[in-house]
Amino acid sequence: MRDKTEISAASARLSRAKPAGQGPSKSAASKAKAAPAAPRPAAGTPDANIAVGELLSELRRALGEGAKRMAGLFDDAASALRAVLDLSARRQGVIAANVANKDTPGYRAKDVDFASELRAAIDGGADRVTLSRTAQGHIAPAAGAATLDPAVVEREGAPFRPDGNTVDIDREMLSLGENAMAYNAALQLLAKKIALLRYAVGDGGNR
Amino acid sequence: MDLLRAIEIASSGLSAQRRRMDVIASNLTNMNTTRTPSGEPYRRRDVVMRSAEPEGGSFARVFQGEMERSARGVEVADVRESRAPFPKVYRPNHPDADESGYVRLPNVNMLEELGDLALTQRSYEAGLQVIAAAKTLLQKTLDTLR
Repeated sequence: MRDKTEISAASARLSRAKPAGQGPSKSAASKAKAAPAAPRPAAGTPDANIAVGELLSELRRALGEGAKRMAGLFDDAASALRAVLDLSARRQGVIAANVANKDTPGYRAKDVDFASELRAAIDGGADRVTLSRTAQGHIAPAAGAATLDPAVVEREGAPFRPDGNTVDIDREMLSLGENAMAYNAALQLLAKKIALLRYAVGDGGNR
Repeated sequence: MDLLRAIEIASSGLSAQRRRMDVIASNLTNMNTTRTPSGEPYRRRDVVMRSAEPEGGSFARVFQGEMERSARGVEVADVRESRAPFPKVYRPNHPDADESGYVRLPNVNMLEELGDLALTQRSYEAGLQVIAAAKTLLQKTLDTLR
C-alpha cells in the first residue's frame, strides 16, 4: 500500500508542475504504465523537466520496492515466510557446496545461522548492509539484491580428518532434509495464505 | 535464484566425482600394465579437488559468484601420479623382467581402489540427492502459485 501512495504523491507533484490545460492526471495505476513513454512537457519549462525526471525515478523506486515486497502484498506473516523461503534456499546452496566439496582437502564445512539470520530479516535487518541510491544516475539495485548474503559460519564440532576437510556427509544429508522440511513448511503456509486471498477475491464460497 | 545455484553447485560435485571415477577405472584397468610410453610400469593416479572459483562469463554471473563467495562448487584441480615405489615380484619368464628375474608391477592396490570407488559412489549419490531435493523444492514453489 505504501508504494501506491508514493506513486500518487509523485504523480501529484507532476500534475502540479504541468502547464495548465494538459488535462487531469490519470489514476496512479495507469500512470505507472504510461510513465516511461509519457510525452515530455513543452521544452523550455525546466521545472516540468525536473518533475518528470523525479517522477520517473520515484516510479522506478516504487516499482522496484513493489517487486521486492511481493509477499508483503499480504501481511507481515507472509513476508516472514518469504524470509524463511529465502534463507532456506540459500542454505540449500551452502549445503550443496559442502556436499560437493566433500573430498576437497582443507575445505571447512559451512552453514547459515538460520535462527539469527531469520530474526535479522524479520526485524528489518538494521545491521545489514544494503545498496542504496544516493544520486539519480545510480543503477537501481535489482529486487532482492539489496541485501548481501546471509552470514555463513563454519560448522562447529566437525570430525577431524587428516586432510583438513571437516565435511561430515551424514550431517549434511540430515541438514538437507531438515532444510527442505523448513522450506516446505513455509511454502505450505504461504500457499494457505494465497488460497485465503483467492477465496476472498473469488466471491467467497459462491464460486 | 538460489535453488538453481544449489543445483549448479551440486552438479559441479557430480562432474568432479565422475572424473574421479574415470581415474579409478584407469587405475583398475592398468593394474597389470608393466610397460607404458615412459618405459616404467603404470603409476597409480589420483585426483586433487579444490573449491571452484566463480566461473567467467557474463558480468552478472561473476558478480553473483563474488556475492556468494561462501557457497562454492568443486573442481578437479589436478590428476597426480603416485610416487609410491613399485612392488617387485620374481617372474623370470615375464617379458619385462630385469636381469635378475624381477618384474616391477604398477603401484596400484586393488583394495584401495575399490574403497575409493565406493566413496566416489557415495559422494555421487549425495550430490544427486541434493539436486533432487532442490528440484522438489523448486517444483513445489512453482506449484504454489498455480
